[in-house]
Amino acid sequence: MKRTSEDGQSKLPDNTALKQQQLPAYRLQLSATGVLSCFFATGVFCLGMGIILILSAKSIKEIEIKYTKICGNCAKLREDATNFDKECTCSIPFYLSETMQVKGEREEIQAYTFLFTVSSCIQDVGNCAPFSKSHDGTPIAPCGAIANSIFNDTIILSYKLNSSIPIKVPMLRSGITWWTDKYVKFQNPSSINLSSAFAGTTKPPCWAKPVYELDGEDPGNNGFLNDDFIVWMRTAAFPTFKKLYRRLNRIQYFIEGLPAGNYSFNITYNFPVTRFKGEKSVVLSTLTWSGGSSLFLGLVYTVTGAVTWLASFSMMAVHLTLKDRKVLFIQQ
Amino acid sequence: WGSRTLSRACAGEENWVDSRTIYVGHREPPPGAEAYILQRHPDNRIVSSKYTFWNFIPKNLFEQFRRIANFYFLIIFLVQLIIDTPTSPVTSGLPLFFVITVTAIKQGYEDWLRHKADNAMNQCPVHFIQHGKLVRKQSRRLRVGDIVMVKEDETFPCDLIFLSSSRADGTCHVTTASLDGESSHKTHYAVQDTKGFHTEEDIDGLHATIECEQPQPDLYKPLGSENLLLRGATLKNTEKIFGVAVYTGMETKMALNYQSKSQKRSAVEKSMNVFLIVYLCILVSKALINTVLKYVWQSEPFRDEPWYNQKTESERQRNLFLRAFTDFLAFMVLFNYIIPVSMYVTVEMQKFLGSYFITWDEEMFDEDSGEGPLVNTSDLNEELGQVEYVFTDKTGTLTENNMEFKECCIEGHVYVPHAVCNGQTQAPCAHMCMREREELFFRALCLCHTIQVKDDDDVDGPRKSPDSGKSCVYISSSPDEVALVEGVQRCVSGRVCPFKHLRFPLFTGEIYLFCKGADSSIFPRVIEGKVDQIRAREGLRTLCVAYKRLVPEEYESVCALLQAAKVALQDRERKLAEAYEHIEKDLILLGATAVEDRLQEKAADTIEALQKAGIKVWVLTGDKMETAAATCYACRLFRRSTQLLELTTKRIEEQSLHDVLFELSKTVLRLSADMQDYGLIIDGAALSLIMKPREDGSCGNYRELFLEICRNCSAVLCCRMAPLQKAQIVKLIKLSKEHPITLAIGDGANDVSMILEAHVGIGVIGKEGRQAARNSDYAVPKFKHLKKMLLVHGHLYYIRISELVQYFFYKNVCFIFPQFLYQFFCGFSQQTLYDTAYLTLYNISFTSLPILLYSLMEQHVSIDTLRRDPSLYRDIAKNALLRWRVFVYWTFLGVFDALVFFFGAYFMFENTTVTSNGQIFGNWTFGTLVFTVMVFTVTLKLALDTHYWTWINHFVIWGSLLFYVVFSLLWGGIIWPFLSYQRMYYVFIQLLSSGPAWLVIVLLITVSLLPDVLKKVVCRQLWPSATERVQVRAGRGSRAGGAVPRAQWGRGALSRGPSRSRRCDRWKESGGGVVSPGITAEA
Repeated sequence: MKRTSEDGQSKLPDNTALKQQQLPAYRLQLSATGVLSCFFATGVFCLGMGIILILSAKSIKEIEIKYTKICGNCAKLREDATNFDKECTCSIPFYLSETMQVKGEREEIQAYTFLFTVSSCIQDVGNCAPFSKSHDGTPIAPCGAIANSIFNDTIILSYKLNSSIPIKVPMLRSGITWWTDKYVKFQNPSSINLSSAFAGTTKPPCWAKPVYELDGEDPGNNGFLNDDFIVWMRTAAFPTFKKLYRRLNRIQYFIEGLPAGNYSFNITYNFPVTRFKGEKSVVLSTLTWSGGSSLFLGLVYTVTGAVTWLASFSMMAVHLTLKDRKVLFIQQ
Repeated sequence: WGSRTLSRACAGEENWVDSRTIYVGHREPPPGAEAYILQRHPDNRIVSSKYTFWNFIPKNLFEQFRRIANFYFLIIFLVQLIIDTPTSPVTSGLPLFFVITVTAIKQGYEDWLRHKADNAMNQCPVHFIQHGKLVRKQSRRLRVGDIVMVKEDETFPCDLIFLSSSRADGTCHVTTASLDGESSHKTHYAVQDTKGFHTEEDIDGLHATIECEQPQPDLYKPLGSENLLLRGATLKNTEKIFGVAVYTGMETKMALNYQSKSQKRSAVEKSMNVFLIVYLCILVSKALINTVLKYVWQSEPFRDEPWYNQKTESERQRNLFLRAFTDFLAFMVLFNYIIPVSMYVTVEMQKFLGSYFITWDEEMFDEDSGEGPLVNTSDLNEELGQVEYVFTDKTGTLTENNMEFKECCIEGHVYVPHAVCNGQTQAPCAHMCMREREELFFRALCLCHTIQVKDDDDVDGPRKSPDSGKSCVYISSSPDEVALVEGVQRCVSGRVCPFKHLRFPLFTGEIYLFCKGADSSIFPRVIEGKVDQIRAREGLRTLCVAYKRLVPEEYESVCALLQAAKVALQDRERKLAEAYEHIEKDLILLGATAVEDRLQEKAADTIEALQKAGIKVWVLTGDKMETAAATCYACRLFRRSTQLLELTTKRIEEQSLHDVLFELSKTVLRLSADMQDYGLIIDGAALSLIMKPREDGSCGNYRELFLEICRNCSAVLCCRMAPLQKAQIVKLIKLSKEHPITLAIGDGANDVSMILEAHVGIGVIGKEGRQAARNSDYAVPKFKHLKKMLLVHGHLYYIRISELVQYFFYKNVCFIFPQFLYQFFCGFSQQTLYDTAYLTLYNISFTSLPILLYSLMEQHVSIDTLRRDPSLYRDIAKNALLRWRVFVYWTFLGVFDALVFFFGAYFMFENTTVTSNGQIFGNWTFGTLVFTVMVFTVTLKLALDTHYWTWINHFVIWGSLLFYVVFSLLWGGIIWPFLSYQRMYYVFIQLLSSGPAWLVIVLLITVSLLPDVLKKVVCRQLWPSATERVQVRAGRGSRAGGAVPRAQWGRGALSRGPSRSRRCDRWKESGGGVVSPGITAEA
């Protein structure tokens, strides 16, 4: 290539690979063998994964008791907002036929599930309106609609060791929140004691107790650091949700988990759900590495694997017939 | 000096609608004239700019917000400002501001350039005659009636009536290259009554009135207006002239012939706008559905006002409709990301950056001229891949505009004067001489022309004889005459004397009549001679020479006849033609000459490639039919097998237009089944007849008929076209019912209107000035570069941008549809599914770069393959990748993926624990899970579509995924002090610490990608397109070390398309450069 004039040379574009669109590149080739083997591999992975997940989900034991209807009279009482200060408890006996065996290290008891509309209540945590100030102008702590609607039933599980005396099953209220929520995100205002820290504020309208009296026993579990409060403040994604209530404390009779036998739930019924046609239930469940007892993940994996295999087999068939035909064509 | 009326200046037309009266030199009207009616004429200012300093901002903003997209974003932005929404107004305001500002700056700059050009033109000095003195003034001060003096090589500042010239005979020569592209010199005559006025004083004493018609754009009308000098033409070979301004400023023929440069929109952009409207409908219906459902849902009071969330008094008292409307707007804002402003930014960037690949292209750089391609607008890059019709100028575009005498044939003997080429004068001439017929032949050539000789070699004549001792310049209105005379000069050792201007009879001792012309016009008049031995050969312009001996009596009668015709007052033209017809008969054929208008390098090859790519090539030229046809043969637009159909004035004179058209269409339709190639030749006059609107409407629509004929012709040649007619024909095709994409290419100023009219206008940076290049969308140094421009760059740009558009809509459906679904689970409370940071950054940073880089780098097939196989261009014809089918497929893919993300995560979260320690996840974790799956799926989908993996693609694709992960870790890993909420704190990390979350991410990505992969593989295997076959072949080839591929993967791969070996041959053959010229006669 001769470049005749100086002028031409100066105007001549650079001969770099980028500018000439000639960068060294790998061209993606979809060859038959490549695609097929890829499909087979995906199929194998999905099928294997699916089977493992189904098996592990099958090993989970779970008991769910819907107590809205069982505690019908309490529910009725709570429908009238003026009865908010009347206490109502109900007891639900049930029989655990098999031991809830612990395979891992821990066994969880999960509490309530209910239908609940989250409409507008979780709009924006930063924005507390309309629950930022009470009628007389004192600020509400904790503010906001979510805090106002806190779940305030108390559930106690008792075990009848022999026919007469019920033993209270020991439960841990720690470790039910994210560590970071409890120790970093949520903080009480610093003061000598909590009641003075929250002086000048008022409790949310639906609360029975002020925030610094949430846990009478453990001072470290009070105020904003209350585990139940933190759990509640992590708003669920859907109207039907499940939240962790307590974990089993594996001591005494319960080192191996919950033995078979007669149990009962003693529930202090405070949280009204029938007003918005909701339902509450309490769930006892074991956990595995893959979480709770949903077959969903395992099933979808299996189905995906099966579909992939089916597709790859049919593709292989098509490919082979086309190939045969072509060979014939060439031979002719 | 009595006052005279120079009414004949522009006269000749009976059907004036209106006429203007001009008083030369602004004299008072003559006393006897009718009442003086003041006629207002514009001054001589040329305005091509769109804005002024004051109206720029409002007008430009108005123009910009007329675009649907911009207006939409403005509305969304305002709504966000006014109502309380979960998304920040900055997220839509900032990109909009950016787009508007950048566009405004760009348009402002362009308009500033136009202002500058206008000013330069309006301020250039002009010589006026005022009170008998010469005054210099700015051109814009020129008014109708002013007397102007123009010197040699100056351009006329406005349309002038030619009063007098410095030449004794009252003539002047002009070139109208910038008007109609003809570089030849034309002779104009001063008005008879004034041609004696040679000095300023003389002129000043002139009292005259001019009656002429109102301005109209047709250059060739009034025909034979030898007194009218047009603005834009250049005075040549004449020292100075005087003229009076008749049309000024925007009323000059040049200005009327130029069309304003309008904004061109590509087909892709049009589809984009349609898609935009579809998505707008989707958006509005989504918002509407949600608003209605919200109120249905809230009709029960326990849902409207649950005990834990009671309304305040003011909320209760708000008007229901007002609330509903606010909700509707809030939903609109929530879902507004479905039409992302970032798409427009990305498209603009892609076009702007992508256009650099054209300027950078080394293969499109012309080393001789030192010019590279220019990109004047980047809006039309992808349109280059959609071209269906190419309209090309001939002179200077297809040909070099360089006539050369190639050979001649006398009495059946062929003479090839190599001397012309290599300067050896003697050899061929030796045996050529001394025969009577030869003598006559060369005499005829020497005499039958209109050449003028100019001894002064300072002046830029069209042609200089390169090796003659005398430096003389031939000037002629016909460049092939120059070539002939030069050729003859070198063959015959005769003196070259200044020839007198003669039409063609010349009288020596014996009286001969020589006649030179195209074979078609000569042959019918010939009675003797070896007619059958002269055959027009491809690529050569053939002229036949014949003669006739006249006896003196005959001569006398002929002279009388001609004289009578010349002085006839009515129908002079027709009478002259009849006289010539009478004289020119019973001729004896002498021989023929062949002149070649040399084709540009690889012009034929380029045309062939374009035709293989399914593009129809039309040649539009101002040239004569014979010359143009010869070029068409040379560049293989017409082949020997092509049957030519003529639709010329001559034919229309014989038959009515109606009959001709019907006959032609019958021929075409009848024989198109036989695979016969048709070529159509039409001339400007015939075209204007066709274009003329019918008054009665009973004759049927000629345009439709004409288009029907054109559609069936493989090549069309339009000759004798005025610039505006070129544009007209482009427009005709453009607006025909298929709405094909047109491309116009030309080099001269006469091509500008066509360049502006066509969807894509390409200027050839030629010798005739840069007007075409400046007004074009793209400029190339040579015609041959069109091939790479369309077949390679256009194809790639189209592939890239169509993927870009579809992918953008797809990824935003993926993005917003889950948000829509989520409203069904949160009581239609406008709860956002994703965090604000994710909402904002999704289109800006997480998924923007991979698609931008894809749209810059992607080569689905290699550049080499694209160039080698023009038929691949057919794969993307008719906007193939943006058809409804494809669009719906992408949209459904987006909806499917969104369903998979949302419900996959939903079933995962519903009623079960996702962690192994029983801790629960909230709504933000759910949103983050959906978002993570989405970012990965959408990016991997692009990765699957990428065929060309350079390190940049790797970097950008994996880099943006990595960036997403790192960003999420940081965003959730720190308590950001500036945020009023900490809802994302540790959400992402908690999500990743859960095993099932990983499993569900992998699963959902696989499931959402699977259908697309399956569809792709199956389609490739069962119905492979040509491109896909080439991809497979290329893959095989590279694996087998470049060996010729044998079997392909895919059905029917062997059946279609030319085989590789044949293609190679063709490549070699056409790579040989200039097509070898044919031979004129058979010996």
